[in-house]
Amino acid sequence: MTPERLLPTLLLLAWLAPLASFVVSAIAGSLLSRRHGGQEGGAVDGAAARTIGHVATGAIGVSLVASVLALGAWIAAHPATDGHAPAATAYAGEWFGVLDVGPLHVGAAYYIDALTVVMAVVVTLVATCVHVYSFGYLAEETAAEGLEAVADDEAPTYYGNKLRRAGRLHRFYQHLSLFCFAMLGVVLAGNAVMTFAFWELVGASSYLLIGFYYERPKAAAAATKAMLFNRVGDVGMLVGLMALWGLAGTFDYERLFAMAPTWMASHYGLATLVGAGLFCGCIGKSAQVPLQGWLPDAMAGPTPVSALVHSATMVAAGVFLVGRIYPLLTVEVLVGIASVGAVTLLVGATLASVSHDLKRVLAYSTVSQLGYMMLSLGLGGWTAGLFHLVTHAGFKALLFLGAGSVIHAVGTNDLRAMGGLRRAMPATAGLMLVGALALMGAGVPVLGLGLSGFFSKDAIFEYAVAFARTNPSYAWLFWAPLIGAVLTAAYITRLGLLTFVGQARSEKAEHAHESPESMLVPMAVVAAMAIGAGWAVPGSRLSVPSLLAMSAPEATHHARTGSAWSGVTLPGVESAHEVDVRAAAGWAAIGATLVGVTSALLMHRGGRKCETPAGAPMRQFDEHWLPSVSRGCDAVARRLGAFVSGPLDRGAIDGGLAGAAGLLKSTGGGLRRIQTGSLRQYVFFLALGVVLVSAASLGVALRWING
Amino acid sequence: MIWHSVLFTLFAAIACGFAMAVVFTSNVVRMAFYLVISLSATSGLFFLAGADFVGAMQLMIYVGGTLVLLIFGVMLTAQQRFVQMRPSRSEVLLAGLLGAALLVLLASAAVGVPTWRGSGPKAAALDEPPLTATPIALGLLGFRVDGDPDDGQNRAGYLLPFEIISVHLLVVLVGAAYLARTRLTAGSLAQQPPGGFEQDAAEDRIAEVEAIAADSPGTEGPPT
Amino acid sequence: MILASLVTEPVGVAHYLIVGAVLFIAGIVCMATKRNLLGVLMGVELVLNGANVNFIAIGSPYLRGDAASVGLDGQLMALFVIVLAAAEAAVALAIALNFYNTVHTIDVDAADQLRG
Repeated sequence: MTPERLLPTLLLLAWLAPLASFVVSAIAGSLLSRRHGGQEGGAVDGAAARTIGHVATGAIGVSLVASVLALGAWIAAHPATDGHAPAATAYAGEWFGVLDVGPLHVGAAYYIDALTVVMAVVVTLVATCVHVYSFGYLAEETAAEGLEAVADDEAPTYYGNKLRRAGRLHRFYQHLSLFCFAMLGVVLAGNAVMTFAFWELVGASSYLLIGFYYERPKAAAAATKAMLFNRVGDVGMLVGLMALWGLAGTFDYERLFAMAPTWMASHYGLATLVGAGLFCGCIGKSAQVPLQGWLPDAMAGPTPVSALVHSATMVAAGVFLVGRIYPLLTVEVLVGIASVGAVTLLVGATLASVSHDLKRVLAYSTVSQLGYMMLSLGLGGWTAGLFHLVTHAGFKALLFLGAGSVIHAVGTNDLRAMGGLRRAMPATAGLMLVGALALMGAGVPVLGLGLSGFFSKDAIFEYAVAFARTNPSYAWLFWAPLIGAVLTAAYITRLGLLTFVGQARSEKAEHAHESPESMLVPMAVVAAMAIGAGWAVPGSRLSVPSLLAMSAPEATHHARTGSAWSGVTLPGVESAHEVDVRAAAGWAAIGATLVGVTSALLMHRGGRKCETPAGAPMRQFDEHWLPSVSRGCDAVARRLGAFVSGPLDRGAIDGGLAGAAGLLKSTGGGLRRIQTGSLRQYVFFLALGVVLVSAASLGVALRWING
Repeated sequence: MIWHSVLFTLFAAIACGFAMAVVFTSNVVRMAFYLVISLSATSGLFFLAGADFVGAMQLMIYVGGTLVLLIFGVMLTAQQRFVQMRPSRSEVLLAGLLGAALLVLLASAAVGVPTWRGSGPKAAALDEPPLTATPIALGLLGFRVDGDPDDGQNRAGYLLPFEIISVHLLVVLVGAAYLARTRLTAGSLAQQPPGGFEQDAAEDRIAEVEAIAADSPGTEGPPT
Repeated sequence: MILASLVTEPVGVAHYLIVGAVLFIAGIVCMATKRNLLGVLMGVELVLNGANVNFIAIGSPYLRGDAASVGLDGQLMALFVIVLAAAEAAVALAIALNFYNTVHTIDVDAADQLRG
């Protein structure tokens, strides 16, 4: 089969396998729980739940195999280049049509380029690891009701004792399958409508997964919060889609990219609106400032979910979308994206440095890393940003899975209650160390040796340096990631110190034990990804960045200058790859990392001190001030809503309608009098009508007859 | 002096005049009588136009059938003395104005088409006796014998409309009989005098006969 | 003058049409002014008769040239109208009898239950 037929077929298989698993588990789950006599959501016995989990894992395994085969097919069709080759053409087409309304055609379309293939592999790989890992992590969820029921001490009950409920592992896998289907849909989507639909489906499955422990008020609130924050962004996305439709009259990516240069030239302002609107959706999904608040709270979900959904894949969907629609973005939008990314990475890194909650630190770290990706994309570093997305998926999934392992052992998220775990959990400690080193970008610049984060962070810094050189007035877009790198190294060092080094600070930490193999093996797999994702295949130049570079948009190949108001020039690939730029970027990155590690070691005295300087006020800022900003926005929105529903809707619109109805009623009442019921008057009106109509037509008719 | 025109004028005057008379009288019986005359005169107009069969049907069905029906209706509904039911003057005035307007319109339409102005009956056509009964009967059976068969204007027969109208007429008559039937209700039976009409009438007859017999001279009566 | 021309000039379709119009209008006015239901029915008969006169005139080979003639179509139509009029009279009379039985009068103004 030719690649243009083979690739869509393989990816369709990868896409639909989780859907099949979702449908099967939904039907089987409801049938089983009904057989147990319970209401909806009743108990499913442990063996059945495990079987459903195996089905879901098998399905995502099928997806992984299909995606890897697709990657192989892509590589076979596109021999490795040094990254400067002209862009490889994408395979675009449609599996089946869904909707035809006027000029709008919507279908299950695909747009397959290197980005799609790489993303599909990343998503399915991490998802498979998480599926396997969850068997160990959520083992207690197979319990039946009764004495062995799951005891949830965070959920309040009426009597103040622990909530005891039946396990619901089957639901977890069901939601996970739905998420995988939706995420692959976003990755494969060939038109903006499909992207939007699956974008929302991803959000819905994220809602379900965050709220998995829905008895806990915190989890339920966090799920709602995530949903609402994403809605705010999606409003902007809808505006962008409308503007896009008005501008192009199509949603098909292939046609959009083909016509983008034309309307960039003719409708620059509207094109900017399109980009800004679509980026609003990415702000919400990728937790960028000011919509970053939902991601730390989303850690109320199970930790495997945090690893898959809220660090590796779903939150990266915003970055992915920016990468996908890159040809549609004007320079002004890109600079905006870079600025948002820079602010986000600083905010995220700062807040990650002070939190005492293990998962919250990692969540803010995710926010910060997403900021890096956005920054890179905004500065023209398309390949660098998406490369970082891939490497980040690996090491952040690893860190989260490691954190899950720690939490599973210690039973709490609080860093102050940990310490010294390296003795009890050597494997977890080692794997977490790999993840931490990858996150801070450890490597040796001269030799070009390092973990995956080293390469991707270097690539980002190259663009930051090149950009700061061409636009000296925007130099803060270089300093922000530099400071961010210091903070990154500091907070991840702090995390490692407080968790694994020093003495145990609680009884639980003393009695911690290593996690089962079903959890360690997936961690090892993602650890391999965290180590090697940046390396080239030995003996060839094939690597993730070279793969991605094949499909880099035309616009990234040369410098571009914004024409509306900024006057910014985005550097092209060549200027970012100059020797002195690369050297400066490499030394800056590794220097910042060393500074960060050293300062963290000093500040926390080798893990004996938990508090960061200015930690308390910062935590206050994180936990009280930022939410109160959200609450303030909420109050304003409520006022606005009250105004819209009160004077505007009920007063003007309803009143107008009621007035129109009243007018019609009184007119009808008047017309009622004509209805006299008198036969003779009806005859009279009939004849009158005949006279009027024939009088009107007779003249015309006679003129026609007489020529 | 064309006799055809003279006769037309005569019949037209009768038809129109008595139609007006129908409008202006308010006595139902007189209205029915005037209508008979107007319709008969119209059938005369039909004869003058060469439509002898239709004229005959007009006389037979309209004058002979429909009007008899109407007169039955008059008799059945006018049980008390004929009440004069007059409309208000304004209604009459409005209706008159409307009628005048319509007349002006229709007359101007009739006069306005040049080919409709009188070229008169063709002399040759007048010589031929109008024999339309057979062609019409054949037309109703689906065969057209009028017109030139070679001129390409093959006209359609009327077999299907004829069937439809026949069934229609049957349905209508059944329906009319159903609508007009007297409903036997408990009340209508209760109004009968005790013993029923039949018995009373029979007793009256017997008494009558006996009275005649008693009065008559002769000896055939029963011995007393 | 006009009366004289009526007997000296040949008769055309227009003459018939005017007679038909008069009958038609007499019927309409009859329907619009009579309060007696049977009077209204007679108006309907007049209207149908006026239409019949038009059919006969248009279809007459005597009044129009053969080329313009519609042959027997007009006469057949007139026959159908006569039959329909008979049917209409039968039904209308049945309705009139029912009406009389219901409201005990023959005045159509009594039938105003449908007044709005």
